[in-house]
Amino acid sequence: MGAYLIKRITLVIPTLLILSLFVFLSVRLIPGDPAQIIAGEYATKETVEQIRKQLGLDRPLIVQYMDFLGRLLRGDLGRSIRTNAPVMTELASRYVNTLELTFLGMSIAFIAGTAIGVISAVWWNTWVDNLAMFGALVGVSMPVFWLGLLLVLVFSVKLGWLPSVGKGSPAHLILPAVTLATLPTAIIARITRASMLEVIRQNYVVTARAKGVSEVSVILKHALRNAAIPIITTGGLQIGTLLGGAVITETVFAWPGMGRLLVNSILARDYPVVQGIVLLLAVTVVVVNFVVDLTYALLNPKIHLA
Amino acid sequence: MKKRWVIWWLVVLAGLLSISVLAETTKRLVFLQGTDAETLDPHSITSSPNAIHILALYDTLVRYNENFEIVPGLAERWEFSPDGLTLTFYLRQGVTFHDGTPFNAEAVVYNINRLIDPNTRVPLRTYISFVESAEVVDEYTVRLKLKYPHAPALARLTAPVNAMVSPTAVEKYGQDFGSHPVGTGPFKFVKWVRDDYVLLEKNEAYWGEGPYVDELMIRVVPEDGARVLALESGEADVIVRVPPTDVPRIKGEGYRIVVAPSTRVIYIGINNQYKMLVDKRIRQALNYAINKEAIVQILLQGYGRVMDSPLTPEYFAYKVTGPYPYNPQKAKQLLAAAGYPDGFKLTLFTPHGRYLMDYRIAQAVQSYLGKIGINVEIREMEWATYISTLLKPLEESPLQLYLLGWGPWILDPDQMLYPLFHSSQWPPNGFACSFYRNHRVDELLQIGTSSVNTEQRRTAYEEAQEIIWNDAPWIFLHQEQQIVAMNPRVKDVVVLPIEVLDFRKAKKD
Amino acid sequence: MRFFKRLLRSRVGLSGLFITGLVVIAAILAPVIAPYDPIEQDFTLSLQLPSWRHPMGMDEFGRDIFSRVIFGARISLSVGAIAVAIGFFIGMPIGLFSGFYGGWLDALVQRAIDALMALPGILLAIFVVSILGIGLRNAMIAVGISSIPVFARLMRSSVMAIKEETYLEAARAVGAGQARILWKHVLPNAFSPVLVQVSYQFASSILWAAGLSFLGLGAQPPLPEWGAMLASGRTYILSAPHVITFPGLAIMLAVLGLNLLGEGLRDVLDPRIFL
Repeated sequence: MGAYLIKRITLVIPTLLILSLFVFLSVRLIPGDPAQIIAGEYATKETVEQIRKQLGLDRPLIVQYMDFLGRLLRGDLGRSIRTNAPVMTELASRYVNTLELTFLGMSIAFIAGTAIGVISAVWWNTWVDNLAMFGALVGVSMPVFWLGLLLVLVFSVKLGWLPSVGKGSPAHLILPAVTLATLPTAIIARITRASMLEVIRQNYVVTARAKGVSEVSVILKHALRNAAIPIITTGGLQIGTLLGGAVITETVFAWPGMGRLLVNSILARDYPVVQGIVLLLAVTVVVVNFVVDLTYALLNPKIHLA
Repeated sequence: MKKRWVIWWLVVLAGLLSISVLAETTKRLVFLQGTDAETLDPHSITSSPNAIHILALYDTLVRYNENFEIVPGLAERWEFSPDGLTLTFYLRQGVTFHDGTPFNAEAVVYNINRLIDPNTRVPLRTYISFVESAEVVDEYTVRLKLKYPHAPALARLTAPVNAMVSPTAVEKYGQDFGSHPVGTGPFKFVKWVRDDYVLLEKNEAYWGEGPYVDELMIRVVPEDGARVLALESGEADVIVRVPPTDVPRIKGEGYRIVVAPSTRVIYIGINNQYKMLVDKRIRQALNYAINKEAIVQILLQGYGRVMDSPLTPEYFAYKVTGPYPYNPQKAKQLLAAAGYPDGFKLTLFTPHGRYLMDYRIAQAVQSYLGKIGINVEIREMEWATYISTLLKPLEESPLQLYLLGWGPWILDPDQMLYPLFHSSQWPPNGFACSFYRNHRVDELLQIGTSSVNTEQRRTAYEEAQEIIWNDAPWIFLHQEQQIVAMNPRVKDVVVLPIEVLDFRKAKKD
Repeated sequence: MRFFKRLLRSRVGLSGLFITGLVVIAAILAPVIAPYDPIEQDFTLSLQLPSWRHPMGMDEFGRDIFSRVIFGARISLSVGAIAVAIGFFIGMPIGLFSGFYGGWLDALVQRAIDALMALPGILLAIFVVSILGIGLRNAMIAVGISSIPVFARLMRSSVMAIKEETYLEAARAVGAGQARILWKHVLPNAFSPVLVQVSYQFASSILWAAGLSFLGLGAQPPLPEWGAMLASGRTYILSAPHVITFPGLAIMLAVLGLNLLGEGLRDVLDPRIFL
């Protein structure tokens, strides 16, 4: 187990390094003067020079990268061109808000998705199954922003049950989280169903039934537990989709997370902020994937023994 | 496994719920608008949405009431010297800034000096540039020396940019004062989360009447439809720039709609020095090509008035010089006469969500110009970036066509015409981003600004309007009306013609 | 041929083919089918509700929504096609060589792909747009780049699965060169899962591109792109909901059709693959 852990960590580190290299190089790879590109086509000459000094763009590439990496590890993401405040400060509270929304969405997706998938598998090939799977297909095909608008229309305006804008009470979380959760729920439902179906046909399930164990127990204890691994791994991997969906959902619901800041910063060519957000999101994904890997290892007896 | 997760999340949910129950007993007024403040330092502001924060946090020496009359603010009385070159203020006594600093003549002199100091960043310096110096007479008397007799002098001091800040706080925070505002106003600063909201709380020691709410939250929701939804679901109390198509429906649901006049005009600025745009005929063609009535009737649902002069009817020197009626044939003829029968390409810069229907107006303009052969590409700009782009000097300016509004904070032709059409106001000195130059107009506007003889000013401005209109430095679009929607439980929110909402007397049930 | 017949027999595949076919036809025949110019404005008809002459109604500028939706199909399908092409023609060779040759090259490429996948889907597309600049053309490239990791990964795992097959041993024993083995044996067998993925990725690309346009980073006015239509229609969500209803339905239909097609293909080609 310990060996496995170390092996996984050594794989994560190069990934993170290459990631930082990608982000670092991204602006510098475009033909043209990087300072001008970062400052934007409409910046004044003074601003361009200021940025050149500020980001040290006149030094050799390697030096710049080392400096970049060093600052990253200290948590210094530079300063926003727009507000001149440190990027870390701008992102801190917003990052927490985005995480809040994302993890709530993930939880809903896991719970609802697993439930739907199990039900589908149990009532395999009946109208329940077909309906659920069609629903899942629709869920995967529906644009997040459209769904969000529709939900606001129904639950916020027509019914007046839930708030549509911003953050405040727990009720403010519901619509955005449900909107966000739809796509991953559909995906998790589908994989749960497939995984359960595979397991249900296995011998030990048949044996359990023959032994007279109750159907519910069979499903929940035996089948689900064995089907769990692909469900958890696929579900955990949804973090990237969820974060992407969160950016859009935040725009629809004016949720004060990183999504809106990202879009505004792109339009304002506030490159340090964009870079900071991208790095933060990517690191989150890598970390979550790592955790999923670990969970997989813990759950999979084969690895346990290795 | 699944069970443990469920339990854990129930615990978290329960925690969140209990926190929210504890929170909501303060009376908070929530106001939504489309853009965030750029700064909370009044001397550096450039826009009216920002002025709302300023008027909540600060006071000026004098101010406008909703009938556009000048009434006392931090000054109780004032008098001009006979030659019009000195203005003396007798200040209100017993007022303190939020940080305890006393408000007195010294504080006023500090503020004036800061405003006229060229090292302070004051984009709207036109509101104070007529002042030569200020001096303390006694603890509550200040004397301002003016550079020249200036008819709108008193009016200019009502402008939010001239609000009084705490000298102690400026010394303490320096550059960061814009994020740590301290004034004498009805509300005190609590918190600013950029792009999200500014939270203010009641100033218990306020010298004037009110406020009657405990907290004021000025929230940023860029999307106009989302603001309406927030109003309808009860999350917001007051919203501005309501899409005109939603007005009948909201009214029907019982919300209060206030349609108030505005000094603001919306126009498409033309870079008069850019390539073919130096030719007056082409600029006139641009004016004939656009159906401004249709834009007002359809996009604004009638809430606006097509411009027929560089001034609007409220100004004393207003004279009808236009309009440019919708005539695409004439537009094409003018283009051909100027040597461009096949049209050309132009870029139109526009903000999105700053003015009512701004982005859509840009699209309509794009379509109309397309019909006479001018291929327009729209470049959407984020507001702060837009401001810095607008203020670039001629050699660096990328401007060709740009959508902008201008809403003076005083009702004097000087503020409507001088900053926009006098050649000394070319960026980066001012907002004459059309780079228009006409020597006769410069002369006339100079007379207007430095004379106190009403008839003399009127004559000068009338002639100036004719010339400007014919030179067509802009595509003159329309004058706006303000559409503000409020929840009926909110009362006494004053909507000023300078597009600023005054919350000091607002009440919420 | 046999494969095609089987696809037609699967209900899922059939409906997928049908819906996708409709969208494709609409896109190809757009100038013929669309009754009006999608960009022409007529203010007098602003926000008109659906009627016989304008079955999907008019938007705020008096543009016919039905025509805009049809031309929007053209834009969305182009974006999807180009994005998938980029992902396919760049991702596939990467995955092929990485999987086939293995060793340190594989390890390096894998880490690089991991790094790219740390910003999955629309996030990577947003990042690329932030560098290249906004607009439809850059959105297409961005979405294409986002598709590369998927194809690379898929190709690689297919290749690695097949690498160990015995018939390859036989081929090597007979003396066939590496390239020949790759071309004649590995590639055709790795193909099936990739073909299925093409359909799914096409669907995702359309969603991501619409998302970019919705955020204001993709198609710019007056282009009739579905996501952009939803963004500008938001203002009228209550006063004229038809403005956002139809473009949203269009996106869903196109994506659904492609997903169904993907399901059908999967059923036919290899029911064991679970994506």
